[in-house]
Amino acid sequence: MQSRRFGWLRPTFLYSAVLLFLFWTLAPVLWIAIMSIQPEINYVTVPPNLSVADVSLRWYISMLAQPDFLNSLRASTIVATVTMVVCLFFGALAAYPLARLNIPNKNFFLGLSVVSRMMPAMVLIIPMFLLLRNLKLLDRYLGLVIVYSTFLLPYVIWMLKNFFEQVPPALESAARMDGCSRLGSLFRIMIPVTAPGIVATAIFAFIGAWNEFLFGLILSTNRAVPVTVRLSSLVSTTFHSDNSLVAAAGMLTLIPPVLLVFVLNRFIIRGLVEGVKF
Amino acid sequence: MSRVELRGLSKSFGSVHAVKQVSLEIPDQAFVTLLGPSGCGKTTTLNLIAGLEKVTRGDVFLDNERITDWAPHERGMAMVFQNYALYPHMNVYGNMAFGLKLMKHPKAQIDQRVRHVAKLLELEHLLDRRISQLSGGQQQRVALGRAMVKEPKVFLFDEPLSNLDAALRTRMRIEIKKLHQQLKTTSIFVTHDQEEAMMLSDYIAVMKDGDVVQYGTAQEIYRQPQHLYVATFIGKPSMGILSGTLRVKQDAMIFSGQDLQLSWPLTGVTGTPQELPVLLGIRAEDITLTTPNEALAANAFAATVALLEPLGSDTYVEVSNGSSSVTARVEPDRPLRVGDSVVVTVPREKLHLFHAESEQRLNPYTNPTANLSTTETGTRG
Repeated sequence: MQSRRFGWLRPTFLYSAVLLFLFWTLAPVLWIAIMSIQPEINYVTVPPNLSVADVSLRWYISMLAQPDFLNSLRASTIVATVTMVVCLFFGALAAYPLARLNIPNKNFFLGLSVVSRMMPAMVLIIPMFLLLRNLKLLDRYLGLVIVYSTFLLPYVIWMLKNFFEQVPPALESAARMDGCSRLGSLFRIMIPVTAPGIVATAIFAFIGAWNEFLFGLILSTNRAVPVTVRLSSLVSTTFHSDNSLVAAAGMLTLIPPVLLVFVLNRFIIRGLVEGVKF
Repeated sequence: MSRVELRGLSKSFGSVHAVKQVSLEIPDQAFVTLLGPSGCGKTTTLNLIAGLEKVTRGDVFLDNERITDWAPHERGMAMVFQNYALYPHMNVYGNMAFGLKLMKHPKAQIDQRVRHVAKLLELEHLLDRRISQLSGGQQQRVALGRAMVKEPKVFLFDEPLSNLDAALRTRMRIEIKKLHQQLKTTSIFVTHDQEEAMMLSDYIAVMKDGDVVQYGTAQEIYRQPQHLYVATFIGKPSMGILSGTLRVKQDAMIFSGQDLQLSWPLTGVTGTPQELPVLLGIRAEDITLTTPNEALAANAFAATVALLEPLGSDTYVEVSNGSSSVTARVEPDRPLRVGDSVVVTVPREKLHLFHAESEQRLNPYTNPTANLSTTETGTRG
């Protein structure tokens, strides 16, 4: 009786919690979206004086007219995409044996792979800078791809290893009976079967590379400046920056990763929530 | 012709010896079962035959050709796995055609073979379905079909029925048996279910700790278990075991157990009589239960009914004399009640004797206490 009478309580509570959480995570984005279409004077006052009549896209138009910003958008898109592909390719080749073969000291190697993530990035910046300078890769897409892959690969290996481990070994035995080599069963069976997990990992790698700031700031000066670095320069280089312009630029940098997630949405939810299902 | 032979096959994983010196001959067209509890090395043996595991020592022969180092797909064998191992990203047709595609068969031939097997297994209407849309029984049939389209020389089955519910398992068991009668392909079947093994097989290899304890026809295994382990593992209910000593005296064989003594006439005694620690085994259906009267026969002992298990077709009666108990099978309409006094008769031709230490079979027809050395070595398949 009790549970039936107060049956509405549970869903109400759950939905309230979800709404609160959504508000918590989305409010800043919403606020930036508002800022990007309103003149600054409307939202710096307390209370804000937002007005539909003042809605304008001119800050977007002005950002898109800046060649530097467009170059950075392109740089980030290329670097993040290539990093994603590199991480997935080498990550799969490393994760597969770690998941399936009897390698001596396997856990040691797995632990070793995350050592680079255990120290603050600042520690590694100087050696990285010198290394890339000697290789003449400073301010180049390739330089950023190498550095980003170095940091993202351990995560990708761990994630893929977990997805691969969920595939029953008998599936591969069946493939080998059918005539697949080890490598053949990786590409014909493992990868298609774990597609949702792989897509989730891909998105993770892309966003990781897209959002990187510190290394981009130090390692790029002109040709390969990531969009995150360009954004920060909008704030710091002008005496008084136009916050609406910064907000519009911020909104524009959201587009590629959000687009990617939307396109692959079907996979990411299956991949993250369910893992691989049999 | 596809005769499989294992010669001294061994497999170790580090210091664990999963398969120890297994030698078996699997005749052409035979249905052979590797039977044993989990962890006895039966699946590893199957994987060695399939080439999925590397052999540590010994050899596998197919039609007198040494195939020990051949890749799995070169051996002309097909395997049905315990959890079916169907490719979830392909439909039924794709699963069945996958192996043939890799073998680069012409498309028309693949199509013809897949459709033929699908018809045979009543899977035609499911060919476009995804694996996740199939029931357990249907998945099982697709797994069978995937093996059949390859027209292999040998079928390998790794506990293919253990994931099915009881009713379906019985039905699939019959289907597999019919299929074997029809195709006559040499088959090696792994199971821990002795009933399944008895029903399906021409020959059974009973395994224990990586070793084949006995290899023979189902009847041989049931009627003449060469080892205590086989005797107690095969048969339902499990064979009743009484421990005691055996001695031979004046043409009689006398068994002294706890609080009981049984004796049978023995002719033609040879060798030196001695006292031997033994385990006496008797199957439920070989025990005669009678109501007590004055004279107790030499091969009988008095006991009371401890437990009744009516099964409809028969009733199993657990009888006990305090320290020893065995199970007997009686007709369901016998008016027995718990606590009733009964006489348990153990006929000589139905009893099984095992050495208490080596657990090897002793022959009750000649003097079992003589010539110990032959019983020590025992018979191995």
